Amino acid sequence: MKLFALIFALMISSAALAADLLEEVDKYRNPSESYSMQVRIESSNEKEPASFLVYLKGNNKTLTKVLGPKKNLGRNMLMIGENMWVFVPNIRRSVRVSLSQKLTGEAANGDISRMRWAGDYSHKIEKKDPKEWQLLLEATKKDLTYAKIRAWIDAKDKRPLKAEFLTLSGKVIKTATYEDYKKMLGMNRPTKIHIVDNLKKDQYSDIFIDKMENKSFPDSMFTEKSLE
Amino acid sequence: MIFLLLFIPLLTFAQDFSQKSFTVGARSSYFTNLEEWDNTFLYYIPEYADESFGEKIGQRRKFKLRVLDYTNSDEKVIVDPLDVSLEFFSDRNSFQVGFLRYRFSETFGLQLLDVANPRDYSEFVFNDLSWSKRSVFGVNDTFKWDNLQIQLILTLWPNGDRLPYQGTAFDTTTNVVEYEGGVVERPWLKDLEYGTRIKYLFENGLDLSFLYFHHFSRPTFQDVQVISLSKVLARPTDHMVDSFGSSASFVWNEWVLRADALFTINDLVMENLLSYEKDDHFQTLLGIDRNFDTFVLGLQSQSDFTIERHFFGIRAEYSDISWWKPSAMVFQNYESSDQWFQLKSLFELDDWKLSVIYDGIQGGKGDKDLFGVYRRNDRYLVDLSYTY
Repeated sequence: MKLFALIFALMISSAALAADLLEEVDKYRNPSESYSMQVRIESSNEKEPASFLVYLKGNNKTLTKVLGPKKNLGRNMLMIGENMWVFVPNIRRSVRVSLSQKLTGEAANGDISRMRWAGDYSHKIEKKDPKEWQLLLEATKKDLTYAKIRAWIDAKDKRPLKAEFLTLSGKVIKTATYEDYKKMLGMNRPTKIHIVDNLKKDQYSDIFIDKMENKSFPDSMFTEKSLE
Repeated sequence: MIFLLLFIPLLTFAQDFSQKSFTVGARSSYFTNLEEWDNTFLYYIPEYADESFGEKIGQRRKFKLRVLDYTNSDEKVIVDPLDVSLEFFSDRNSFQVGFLRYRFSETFGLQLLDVANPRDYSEFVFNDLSWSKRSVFGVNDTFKWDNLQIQLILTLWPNGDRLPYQGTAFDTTTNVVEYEGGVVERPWLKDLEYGTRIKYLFENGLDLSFLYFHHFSRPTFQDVQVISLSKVLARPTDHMVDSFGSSASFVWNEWVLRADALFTINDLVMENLLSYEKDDHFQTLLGIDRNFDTFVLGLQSQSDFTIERHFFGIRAEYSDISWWKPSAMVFQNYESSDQWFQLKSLFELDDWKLSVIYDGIQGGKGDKDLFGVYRRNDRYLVDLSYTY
């Protein structure tokens, strides 16, 4: 009986540790439960950078306001759970889109709207070496931006270093590297995410996190009305 | 004047987000059969918006006017407060007051459910909704509980449709009809419009809503009275109706499915552009859209079961070039030659925007032909604007 209890306790604690690991990785990109960030995306195939103000609450509510370029003003986005809407100014209508749809350059809507892996993905550790760990993340929900992610994290402090975004069959679509760690809201965070298209290696997008602020937002702000 | 009062600065919180712009533009249409330019005007759109958040409450202010100055008719300058509003929101509730354009429908095309706002019919239905939807003055309260939203609307000034001005290209009256056209006057606080919408987002992604609205029958028709053998008087209708509707959208893989249905009791139903009958009015719309890597494709079927008029529409937009957005659309009656064909090229370079749109219109003279009366109105619409 004691042995059974011990095994059960070990199982519980390893599951908790597994969840804790992704939460630990997530904290580098997410300073708190509710925050805002100013994001700039420079892409190889876009003349002008695109900039956004992103309000995030938990893992399932994000409101993204377009700050530029001027031609994209008003194309604001709302994410609730795995559902996403984009406001199309010339038809004055919010349109349902998928998280994996292209935002600009190589960046998908979900790349800035959904910054947490814990809760969305289960993981297993594929490789451990003294410098870095290699994880394989599998989606636990439908309609996420990516079905699978292979992530490399620092062995010591668990900060994300690199990620390959995979299809369900395991084909690599894009590769992201987490760069330019700088002190922001009390800890070192990646301020640049470099995303490369695996089919067209010369095409890339750089996501720059220019500013972050801890802030609480009323729930009723996360409705389609806020897109207009 | 009232919209200026709404915009008194509220210095409660520091602004988290603000945006301002000023657009100046010119728009005109060249009618190929008539070989003349018409509906020519200058327009100005000042716009300002800001929002700020406290711990428990946030506020949002918007100020967007559109001023239309016609150069080829003597219609007065139109100042249209598109969105001049103040909104407060807490965790469970958002309260908005001002000149508003409500949004009910989930579909493209001729939005059936958007019954709460009047429209600009000066170019019939050939302008997109962002241009044609007019504002009303009202109160819009939305209660939110997780995935459930309950919206209550009270319109204190319903505003009126804008009809083709006498003598302009889309005016179908003749000189014997005493008719001015333009904006239909609606008094403040007389015929209130009100309604509610209940919306629920299911876990599987189905977004479903039901609505009830008490409103003016739209579009506005003309009551025609014969005064003498040489004179006929036309006056806009002001008939109030009750509508019940439902809207749904669902994402299936990369496809987005949409549906709208609207039932209006004792509505004014168009027989042709100058006559109507009173009848219960049932309309539906089914659509499917997909965003591919380089283009957007939309298919839509729209039916009016009261008139037995059924349309099928297809729209494609190429989206791979940042400065050029070409699109094509066909809206075809299943049972007749009634057809609206549109080719659109939108060029965007820095702060300049140029739209060149070709509308090809076909149709017979039967009651079921929606576009037939304008079959000689094929046109090129040119719109040039600068925003700073």
